[in-house]
Amino acid sequence: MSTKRIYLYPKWLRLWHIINALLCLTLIFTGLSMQFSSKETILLNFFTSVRIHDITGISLAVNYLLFFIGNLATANKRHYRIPAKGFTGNIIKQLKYYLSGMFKGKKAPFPTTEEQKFNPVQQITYKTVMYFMVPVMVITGGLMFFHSVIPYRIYNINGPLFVDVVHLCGAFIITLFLLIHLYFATIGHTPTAHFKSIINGYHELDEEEK
Amino acid sequence: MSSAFKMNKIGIVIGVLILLLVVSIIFTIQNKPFTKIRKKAHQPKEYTSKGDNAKCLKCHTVSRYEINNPDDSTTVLLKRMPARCIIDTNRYYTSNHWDFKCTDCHSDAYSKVPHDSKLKYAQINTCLDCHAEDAKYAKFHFENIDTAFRKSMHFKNDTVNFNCWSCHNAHYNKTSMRDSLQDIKITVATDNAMCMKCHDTSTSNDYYEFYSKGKAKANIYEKHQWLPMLENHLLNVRCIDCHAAMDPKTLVAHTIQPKSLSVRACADCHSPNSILIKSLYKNRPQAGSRFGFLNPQTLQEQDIIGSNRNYYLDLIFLFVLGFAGFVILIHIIFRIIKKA
Repeated sequence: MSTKRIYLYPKWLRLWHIINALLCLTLIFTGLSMQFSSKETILLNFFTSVRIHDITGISLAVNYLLFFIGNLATANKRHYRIPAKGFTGNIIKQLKYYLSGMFKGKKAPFPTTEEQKFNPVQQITYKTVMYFMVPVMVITGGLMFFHSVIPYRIYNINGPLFVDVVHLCGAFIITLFLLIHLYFATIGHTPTAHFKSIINGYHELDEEEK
Repeated sequence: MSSAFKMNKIGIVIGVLILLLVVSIIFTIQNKPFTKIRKKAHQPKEYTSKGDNAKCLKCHTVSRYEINNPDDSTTVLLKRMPARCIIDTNRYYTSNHWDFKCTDCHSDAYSKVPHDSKLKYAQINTCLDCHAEDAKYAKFHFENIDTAFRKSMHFKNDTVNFNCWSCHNAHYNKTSMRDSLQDIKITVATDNAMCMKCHDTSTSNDYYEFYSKGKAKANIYEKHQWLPMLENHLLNVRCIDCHAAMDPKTLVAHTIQPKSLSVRACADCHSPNSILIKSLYKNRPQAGSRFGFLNPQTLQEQDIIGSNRNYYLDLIFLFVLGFAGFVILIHIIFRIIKKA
């Protein structure tokens, strides 16, 4: 059976994505090791975690620049433009598909095309994560790295604590996103189809997408 | 209303909210340490010894002093006062010993000017000479401090010369741990200054050489390069928190340990049962964990990663992740059943 393929993920994007994924996983693991540090830790020891977390965090910030500039300079940015028409309705439509439509054999309401690779739910989550959460994490992480620049008090609470809690909540949201992102990646025409796509750059179209 | 306009409106609302958040953060930034909750009642000091001390301080506050020429009663000699004999009266009169007469500690024989040169070899009182078994000072546990000090490597290295005054300056000594509302950075700076008097390689004095009998001084900045956020540690933790054995019988640890027994494991501080709670924060108010933070007594001024976890946040994170996992599991089961 011949499958139609469309080229969706250029080389720079795939490179950024794989680096970002590895750095994110490392940051989550080392971050957890620090947050749940104890004398009988079963995770990585605190000292090693700090060193790796610092290096990985700086690398992720640099890698984020690659994404930001790449998205600014190439046509990839079109996928992040949320269509004005039916903003809420489209999201509800997509969620309904995930929750019931796909089990009833209905067609995906927003199939992948060369013009729009993301469905409305992906768009809003990817845009929030990439243009809000990651910058928040880079800024708060940077502040913690250059600790002396953090003011003594923010909202009349301990400044470092404020930054730490924001960083922690951001880390949690990104971890949650990663979990859901990985699961949703299995919802292709085969469970591994999307994983193959992000490696070779080609998205294989379902029968219904052709 | 066009949908493009609606989208723009959503964008504007989100933009304004983010802007408000940033502005509110900027406006609530305070670049000063934790403000005291209660102001101490101002009690003007009634000095009773200033008059008696004036005679001594006439010379002992200046770098060059005049003294009658013993060979010619019509002239005076101008002599240099050694730096260690010059008293900063501002610091002296605000120290713990603020109302002491000089001769309370120094021999009465010093009343005679010029002083007998043999006097400098006279034994100087230590803390216990005045404070031992005194009910008024019982809370300081001077006897326990003395016992702990005698176990310290400082004392063991030089049992003859090393005494209380090697670290504590009797003229300026101020308790820094007693005031539980004082900015912890002041406590840290005060205590670390005592160590740095000898151990700082950036200043040249012969204290270290004197007590170590000529042993070369190690560069403590180089020795501590392994510590992540070195400056942060030096400003927020006392040297003794890692280098002295904790003693439940004293407020401040006095048993300085050899290098091999110093704290090296980060988790000793960066963990829920942080040793700092029993050392640096020993005298801080044991605030109840109203907002679910572990070790809340450190939270007014510091944030120690691994030690200041929030119980409720951990619980929320765990619950939300668990719930997401559960939903995914149900979704997988339906996908298998429905072959979707």
